[in-house]
Amino acid sequence: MKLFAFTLAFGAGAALAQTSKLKVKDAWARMPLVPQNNSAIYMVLENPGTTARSVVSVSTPDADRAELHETKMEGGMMKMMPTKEVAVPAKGSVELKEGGYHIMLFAVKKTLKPGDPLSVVLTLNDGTKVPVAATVRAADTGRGGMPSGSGSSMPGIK
Amino acid sequence: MRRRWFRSWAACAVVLAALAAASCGRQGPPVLQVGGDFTLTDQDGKPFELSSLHGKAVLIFFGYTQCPDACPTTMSKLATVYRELGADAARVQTVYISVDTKRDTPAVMKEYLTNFKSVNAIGLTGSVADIDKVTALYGARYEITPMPDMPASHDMYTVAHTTAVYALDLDGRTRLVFPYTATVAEIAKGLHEILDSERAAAVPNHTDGGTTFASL
Repeated sequence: MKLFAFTLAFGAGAALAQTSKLKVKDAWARMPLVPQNNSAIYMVLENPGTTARSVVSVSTPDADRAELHETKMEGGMMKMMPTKEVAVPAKGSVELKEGGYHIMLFAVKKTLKPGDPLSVVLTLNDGTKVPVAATVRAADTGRGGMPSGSGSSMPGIK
Repeated sequence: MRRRWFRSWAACAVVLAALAAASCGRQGPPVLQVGGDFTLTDQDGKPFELSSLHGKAVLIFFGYTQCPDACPTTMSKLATVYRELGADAARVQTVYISVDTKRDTPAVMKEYLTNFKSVNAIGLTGSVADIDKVTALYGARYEITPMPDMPASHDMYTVAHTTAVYALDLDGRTRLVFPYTATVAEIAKGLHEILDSERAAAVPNHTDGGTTFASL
């Protein structure tokens, strides 16, 4: 109760407390594959709170542009398209994973090697910003098609 | 009487089962109606004929290098398949055909494929007409999709495309078509079936089913 009053009194403190309510796990980015330097970021979002949340936009200082995307099978073809939001249900979780939701980065500005961090900031529907450091992985890690969470032994976010 | 009937029935079942197992092992998965030979340009800019791969099992995938998700996921999966195959990996050649003729030059393909060294794929490009001929042969499809509100300078579009992986036997005939959701184990099993059937066919005793089973 005391803590509640405290966070109410200090705006910055309140934002921090909110941030801690959405947990980010296993954030990783695929090593850019061609000179255009595009990348995709994946992660698990957990919402231990009792209020449903959603990620409504993403930004990054490390690339020209970042967008929330979804890969979908449509008419037998895999199609990648921007998506307005990624909902994280109360007491639930959602995975941004290969063949589904991901954060698409256009023209990454840094020269990267596996293990390097890529920064991305998630903006939630209540305006909260969640900074994430995704670990760059080589494309050839053979993780494709593996069950989710199999990468949890990888060096995680800081 | 009844017992004798049962015994002969059981013996018959055993023979049938052996027959079925042996014939599956010999023939591998059935030959499918899609596929065929073609000529495109490889990542060194040289003409490449599919028929030059006869003697190897072949995996064919249609994708594009700026595909951020589905294509690298599939290539990464194939990297694991190669590790699973062990010694047989040397008998499997992956062919990555680009459906983005505008941006995927041989040089771009070459750089892209260095990200997937364990797959050691041949990367093919060609004119729109060339690529369309090959996608038609294999029943693959693609569709250039402009991206909304991108700066014109980026020349950004994505390519929706089918993501099946085609597995061809040592004579270039399509035997299996794996959907995007196929697991590493399923693909490795399919390749083993194709390679095992060729191995069995290479053993003289097994080339003629009649004599083999007469000895049972």
